[in-house]
Amino acid sequence: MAGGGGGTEELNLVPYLDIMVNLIMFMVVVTAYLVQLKEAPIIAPTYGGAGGGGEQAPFITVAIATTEINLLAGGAGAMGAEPLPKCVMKGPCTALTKRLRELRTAIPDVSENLVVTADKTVPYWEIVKVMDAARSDKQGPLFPAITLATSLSQ
Amino acid sequence: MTPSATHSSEIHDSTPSGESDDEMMMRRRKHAKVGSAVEGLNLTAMMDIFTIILVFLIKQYEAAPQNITLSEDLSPPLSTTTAEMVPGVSLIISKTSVMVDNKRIVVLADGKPTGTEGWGAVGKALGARRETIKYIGDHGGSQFDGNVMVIADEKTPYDVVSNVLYQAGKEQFTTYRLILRAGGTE
Repeated sequence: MAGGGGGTEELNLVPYLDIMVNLIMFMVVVTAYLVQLKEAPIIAPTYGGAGGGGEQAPFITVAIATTEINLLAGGAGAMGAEPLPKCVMKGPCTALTKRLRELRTAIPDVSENLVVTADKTVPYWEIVKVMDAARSDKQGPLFPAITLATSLSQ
Repeated sequence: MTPSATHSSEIHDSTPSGESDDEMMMRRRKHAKVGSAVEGLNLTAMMDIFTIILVFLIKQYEAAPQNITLSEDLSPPLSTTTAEMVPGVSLIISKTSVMVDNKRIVVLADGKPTGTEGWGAVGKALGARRETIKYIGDHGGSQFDGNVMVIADEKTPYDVVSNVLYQAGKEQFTTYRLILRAGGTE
């Protein structure tokens, strides 16, 4: 203790404290720039017949064109309805979710595996928007499994 | 032992047995007046707090299996998915390049690979990574599970994503996990 007549000096903690403060500030700043990430598992893209080969249940394909979204049955024919408007970056994609729910109700044995394909120029965020819209709605799960097929104009 | 603790134990030790609480308090007040001059700030408690905060921040930083920093070049799209990330080989598609485990493999110009190997360079790099993982697995490490984390910029054309995934599939990476930013709207 100080004042002990030449005994041991008290440990100076101020430099250590400075280091700690700097480290904490660094960690706080770094953490602020990090983003919280989640994952969405998908099934491999396939060339040719999309949908996983020998699947028996009818499946739905969502084809994202440059100006609209089309729903196809089994990757072949249109589902007899007018094309849907494209999703916007900020906001829900309610039209697609509503249509997928109608199809899920109308075709009870439809595969849970939704095939998503897009024009080669379509940005990635639109694919993710469609996946989000197809995953579930307020009534429950819709198409939890997504297969990405190759681009429309390969 | 900290100075405050020493001081406290001295008071406690000198307390005679059978002394009432009031008497003890009076004695403590007198004792405090005698040494009323502040000799120095006790930093030990503050140091303890800072150490705990630092350990907490480090643990929080470690908790995420893969942390990426947002930039102009790489900004994954927002999504409503809630699935937690599972670590795997990272495949990053930014506006200007494709990286395998943070190593730049292909430089992109207008969505096209600039090198002579084209998209094949991605497959080659993933193949080499697969062999490394398999070698580690054969020598007691974790086995190759074909797990690949795809971290792509939100404006990446689908053609680029599709070609990169195709190369990964060719190299036995069959479990694709799209890594997205949490916080999208349904």
